[in-house]
Amino acid sequence: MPIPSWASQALPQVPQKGFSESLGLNIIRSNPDAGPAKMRRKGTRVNTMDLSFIMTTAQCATLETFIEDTLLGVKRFTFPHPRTFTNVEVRIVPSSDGEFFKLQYLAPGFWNTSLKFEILP
Amino acid sequence: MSRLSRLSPQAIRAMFSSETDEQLIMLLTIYDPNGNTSPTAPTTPIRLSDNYTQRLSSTTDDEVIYGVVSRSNEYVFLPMTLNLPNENDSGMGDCSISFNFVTPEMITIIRNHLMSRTKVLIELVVSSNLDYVEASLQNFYITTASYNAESVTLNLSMVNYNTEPFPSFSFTPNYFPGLF
Repeated sequence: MPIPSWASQALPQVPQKGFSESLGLNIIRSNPDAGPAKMRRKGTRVNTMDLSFIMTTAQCATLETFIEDTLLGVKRFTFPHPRTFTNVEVRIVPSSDGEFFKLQYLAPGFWNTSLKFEILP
Repeated sequence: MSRLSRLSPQAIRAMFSSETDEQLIMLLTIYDPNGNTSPTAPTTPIRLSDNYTQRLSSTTDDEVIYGVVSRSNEYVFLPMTLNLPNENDSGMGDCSISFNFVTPEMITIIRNHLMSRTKVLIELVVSSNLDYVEASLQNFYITTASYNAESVTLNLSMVNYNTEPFPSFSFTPNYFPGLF
C-alpha cells in the first residue's frame, strides 16, 4: 500500500500564520569540571512542526476520516513542507491524552484546526 | 596489548576531541553458536544496533525501519543499554543488556528460542567507517532473561574457568595406582 498523501486529500495545503518548526540534532553534551563542554553527535533528531489550518466543516470531516481510517492514527504520510516546499514524510503527534487535533470554532462553517507533525528522518 | 592501541585513529580522535561528529555505535548480534537448523532454534542471527544512520532496505510503505549497515549486514535500530560488569571483592559482576522495548514477539522469542545456548557478540564501530570493527566483545552467552512491562534484560556471562577442575584428575588410587 503506497504511503498516504496529504496533498491528495481535499484539505488545505498551506498552514495559517503561526506555523512553527522545531529543528535540531541529537547530541551528547557533557560538562567537565573545568573547561569547555564536550559535544558529540548522537544522531538525527525527529524535527516537529506545529500547524494550524482554517477548515470548512466538510474538510474537518475529511481530516477525521483521513486520520481514523487511512492513517489508523499511526501511519506516516507525505506532506508538502510549508518552508521548503518539498514533500516530507510526517506523522501526527498526539497529545498525551490521545488528542490528534483540536478544533476551534471561528465562524459558521469554519473551524481553526491545530495539529503537530513530526518529520521522519 | 591495550585496547586503545587497537582502535582506529578516527575513533581515538573522536573519543578525545572536545567536539566530534563521530557516532560510536554498538552492534549486537544474537546467534546460535552451533548453527542448529531446527525450526525452533534461533539459527538466524538477530542483529541490533543502538543507533541508526539510515533507513534499511526492509523499509516498506507500511513500515519504516532504521538501522546500520555494516559489512553488508543490516542491524535494526533498537534503543538499548549495555551494563558492563563491575569489579568487586567477590569477583566479576554480570554483564547485561536492557531493551526498553517490549512486544509480544520478543516475549515469544525469549520463551521459545532461548532454550539452548545462545551466544552474543558485541561490536563497536564509528559512523564514518561502519565496516571497521573498533572493538569486539566475544564469547558471551545469554544465561538468564527477564522481562516486565517496560523492559527486557538479558544477562550475559562467559564460560567460567575458575570452577573447572584443574588438574582434571584427582591423584587418587583409582586414577593413579602407581603412586600408592
